Amino acid sequence: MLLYVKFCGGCNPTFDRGTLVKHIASLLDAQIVNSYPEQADFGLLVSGCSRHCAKILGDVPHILIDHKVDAEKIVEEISQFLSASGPDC
Amino acid sequence: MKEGNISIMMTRDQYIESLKKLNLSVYLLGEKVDVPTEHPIIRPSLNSVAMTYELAQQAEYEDLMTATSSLTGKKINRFTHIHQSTDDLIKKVKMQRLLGQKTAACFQRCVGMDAANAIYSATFECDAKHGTGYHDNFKKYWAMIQDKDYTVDGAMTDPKGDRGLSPSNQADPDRYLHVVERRPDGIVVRGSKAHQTGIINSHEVVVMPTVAMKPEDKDYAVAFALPSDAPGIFMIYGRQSCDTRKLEPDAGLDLGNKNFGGHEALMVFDNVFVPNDRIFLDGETDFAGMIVERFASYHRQSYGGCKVGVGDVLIGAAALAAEYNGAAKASHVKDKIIEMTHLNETLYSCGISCSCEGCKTASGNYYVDGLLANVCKQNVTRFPYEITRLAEDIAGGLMVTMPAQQDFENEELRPYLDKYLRGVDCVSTMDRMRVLRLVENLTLGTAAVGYRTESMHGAGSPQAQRIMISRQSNLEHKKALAKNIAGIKD
Repeated sequence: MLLYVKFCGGCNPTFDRGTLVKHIASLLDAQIVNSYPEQADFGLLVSGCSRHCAKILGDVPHILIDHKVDAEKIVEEISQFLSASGPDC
Repeated sequence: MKEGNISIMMTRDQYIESLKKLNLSVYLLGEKVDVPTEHPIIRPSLNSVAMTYELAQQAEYEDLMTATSSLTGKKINRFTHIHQSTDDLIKKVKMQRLLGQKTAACFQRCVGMDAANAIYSATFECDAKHGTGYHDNFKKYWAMIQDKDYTVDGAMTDPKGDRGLSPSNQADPDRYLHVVERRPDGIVVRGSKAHQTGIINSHEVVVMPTVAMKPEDKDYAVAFALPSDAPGIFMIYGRQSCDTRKLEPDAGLDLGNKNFGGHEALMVFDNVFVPNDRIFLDGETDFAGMIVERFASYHRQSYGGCKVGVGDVLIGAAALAAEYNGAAKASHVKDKIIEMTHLNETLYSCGISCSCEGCKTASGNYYVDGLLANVCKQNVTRFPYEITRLAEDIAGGLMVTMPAQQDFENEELRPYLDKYLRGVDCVSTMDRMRVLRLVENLTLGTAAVGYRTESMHGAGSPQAQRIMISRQSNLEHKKALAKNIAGIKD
């Protein structure tokens, strides 16, 4: 699957955003892309703190991720969404 | 693909290669430097600027590090952006904090961005009043800067000679940079600019006047741009505390921050020709003050970002030093860390607030709130000093009495140093020394140039902000408020 990732700018993050995203992508066996969100299967809006500066650019189902995130729970939510959407044809 | 998605930005390596192609004339420790990019004293400062290119290529930082050009529609490095909204002003401050965190040094590229935004609006208003064509000159020039993703030095500070005399009344007319000849195709200028941050790492220099001027100072009211290696320009590198440690072989430990730094230089313009299309002010003395004030306000905003990022590193270093000393749980140490954080975040609050309260200029770009930007910088003249004092307090005297790296490499001495200089047993003596050297670097070594004295005098000395605060304080309104509450009727 293609996982679109849009980060906030990272001025003062309270966790390592890059490491977390790589962890989620590895659990999903997903390829990370940072452009063309409309071609991705799912999107992550990753903000380093509660200010949620990351903004989505394009039409893709997505989840907000911030400092309170639980990676395993995120993976479960994405998996549920994708299975409910059915396989790509 | 939308045009806004086209990346025209240089990579870190492309930036460094582009600098190598310049024919800069640089003197350091009394000698001409053959290859500035490779000089061990200069290189860390180059690495800091290179970080502005490196982060712009990374998805994790592109939201702050890049923008869409208002001039070309292309994706550009934010350091070349003409601010289009208060959101742009806020992102600028956040970007600066990020760069401060990544380098723990002055990354030098802000001054060109601030000069560009000041000249952009001032030339528009000058053209409207005087019928000049400076704004078009500047827009074409700056579109080129954005396309090439150049680093630009903003040169404002003249040596100023006798501060009691105006530019045209100085004993030596060159104490302020001025026009010495006007030709059909351009002007010839002579003088110098002091404290030029990042000039040796810059492709271009944008020169501005340094004070408000009267009609008799016409030849001094000049703004223009040149390649930093234009004929007649040369630089004399500024010394920094502990700078020659960088010349010692493998002196990593003693440098504190071996990869990053900043620099300043005296820049001399020895009868330098400026073509007409690179002139942005020539004799319109009534706009010299506007350029100075706008540049200063943007740059005073900048300090609410960059110094905060460096402060983040210093707070982290102090906290580590406390841990390594076994003192992290002491209540007074915790309180000092809290105080450092409070001071640092207060500076950040000032940088963000003057951005939020920014406004649109007649030219269309956005300008910070002048009062709040000056309050920001006034606090910057004080708080980093208190933060460094607290960091030195927590670190302990060893940060200035510890032996040299060579002593730690001496097999006879090493066991003794390891034995007697260890703090908590679970942290190596060398790691304890590393963090103490970082505190030394930031508080009184090479980086103190940027974190301390530049905080005092950069973007204008404290009194300059107090004058601006006085002018913009709206005191009559406050007196009217007091009269109303007190029941005083005029």
